Amino acid sequence: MSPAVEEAAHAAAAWNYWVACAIFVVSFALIVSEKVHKTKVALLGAAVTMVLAIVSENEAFRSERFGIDHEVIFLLIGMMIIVNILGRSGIFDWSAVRLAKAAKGEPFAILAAFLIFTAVFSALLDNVTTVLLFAPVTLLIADELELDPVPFLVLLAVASNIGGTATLIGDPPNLIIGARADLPFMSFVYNLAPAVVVMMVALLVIVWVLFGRKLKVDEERKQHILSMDESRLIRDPVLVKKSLAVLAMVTVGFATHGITHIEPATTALFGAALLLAISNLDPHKILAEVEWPTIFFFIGLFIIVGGVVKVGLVTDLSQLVIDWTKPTEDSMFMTSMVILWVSAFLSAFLDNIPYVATMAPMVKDMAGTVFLEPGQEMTKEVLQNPVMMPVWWALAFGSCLGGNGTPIGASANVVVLGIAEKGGRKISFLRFMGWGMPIMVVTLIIAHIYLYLRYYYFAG
Amino acid sequence: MLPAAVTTTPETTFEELMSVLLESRQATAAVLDDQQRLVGLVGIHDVLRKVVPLYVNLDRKLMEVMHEGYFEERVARLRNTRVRDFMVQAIDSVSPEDTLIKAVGIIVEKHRKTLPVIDDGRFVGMITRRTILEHVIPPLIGTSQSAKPPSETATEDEL
Repeated sequence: MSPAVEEAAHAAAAWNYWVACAIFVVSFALIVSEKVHKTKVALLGAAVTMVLAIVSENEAFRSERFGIDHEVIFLLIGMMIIVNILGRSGIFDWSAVRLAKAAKGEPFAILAAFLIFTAVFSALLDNVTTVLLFAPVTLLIADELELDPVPFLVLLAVASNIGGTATLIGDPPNLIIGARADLPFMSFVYNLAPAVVVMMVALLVIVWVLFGRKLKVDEERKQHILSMDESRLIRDPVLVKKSLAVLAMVTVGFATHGITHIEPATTALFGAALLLAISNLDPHKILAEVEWPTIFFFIGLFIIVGGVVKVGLVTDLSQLVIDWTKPTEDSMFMTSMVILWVSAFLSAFLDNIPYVATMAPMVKDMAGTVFLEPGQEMTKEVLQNPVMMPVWWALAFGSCLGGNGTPIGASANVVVLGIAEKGGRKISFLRFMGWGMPIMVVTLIIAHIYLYLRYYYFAG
Repeated sequence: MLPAAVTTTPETTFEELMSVLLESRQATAAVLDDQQRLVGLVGIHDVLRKVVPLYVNLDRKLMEVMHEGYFEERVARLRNTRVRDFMVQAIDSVSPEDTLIKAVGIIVEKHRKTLPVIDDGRFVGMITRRTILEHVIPPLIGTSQSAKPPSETATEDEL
């Protein structure tokens, strides 16, 4: 190359770098401001990234590194279809009343049962849907017991965020981490779920001490709960059986991913297709209710982030983190802990999906810098070597649990606030934080100790 | 326009409101402030809306399992509520100068049962479907009386 051509190429690269950064920063700022709908921002940012050829169309549509991660997209769509059909059956209302009756109408026992149920279902399904399906019946139970529904609703969101942390499909940040680090479903369960169980126990203890033990309800009210006939809440008994069978099958499919090598997105799509086929529901209706704005938000984000990955901004960011936390091939303790806490506080105020969409490639890049010689190809072994693993888990814990800090930290919180408002109970930002922030800090301390003990103290 | 439209105030209690409505045999009352300005409308529908909890909106099935006596309890609980707690804002109104077709148009198109008539900020009366049935339509098809715009039928003394 002649010096002039080289110079021109250089100038073009520099130009692309700053344009990609500008698109990224402006998009992020607009998403945070919530002045414009985040899907509009993400799609426009992506379109501009493509029009200016920062990312080519081929890369945007076909490259995992610089474009849309179709595994994440189709996993989301598949699960949304399954959940939509499951929700129509009335099984959530039925379960809630069954739990309330099993708790003999005792308010704390009901609350505890609801929180555990929500956490488990949030691990298997998307948090937002779990909360959406569970909140109305929670309002009914609180109403029948003449209790303030606000703490019930807030804790429902909190439990769903904690429960969602446990699995690959439980919370979108994990989906992105799983796809970027090529981690299997059971790896999440094996590494995250033990800590999530401890966090749930801690949550119940906190709720009992601060609030639950003071809950008192007279016998007559308890009788109202006990005399409910939950079978009336089942809309379609056949659909209940079909959708639970498919959900069970899909869960087994996820869990056996390591053996069958059927990727989670394939499993989810198969489950969705099967359930659509065997239910008598109109696909127009079901597909119309897929949360397309969320799907397109992901699509747009992947392309915008693809742009900053391609121009090297993400590499620069990862260099900053390397300079700051000094990870080595032997230990990334500092890096893990910094990522855990920083992710949590950022995720409490930012949307954790764009955050992780940016952070996951950054961590990947960092792994490359630490473990590989320049020019060497990135491999799965590098991404998943024992020194790297706690970094991924720290990112998962931080970004999922951080969602509990504020009402805008996670989509489940936003949904709960919306439902409370529709039910005539406005929950203020600070009232939510009063519950959410302390619980977030406690769960982070648990995650911190857990990561330290499991991956450094006992591993060392 | 309604002969002697029923009026009430935001501070009126639920019990008083019920007796006013019962006595007048009207389903809706106009809520006026001390300057006789219209602040809202309140009727049996608004009372019932308070009885049914808002969350059944999200999931109608839930009504299936509410305990026996839920309705009675909720109504009893309303006893001390004031009109301001369940009145709704009157979004549409007409002035006495408006034509009958405008008033009737709003009633039909927006499914309103009642339409307040406001003159220069002051509440002067109410047009209801029943007023139209009893006072507006009969002269048009039976007698020689010509149709009057709301301005002419607007004063309470005339009706």
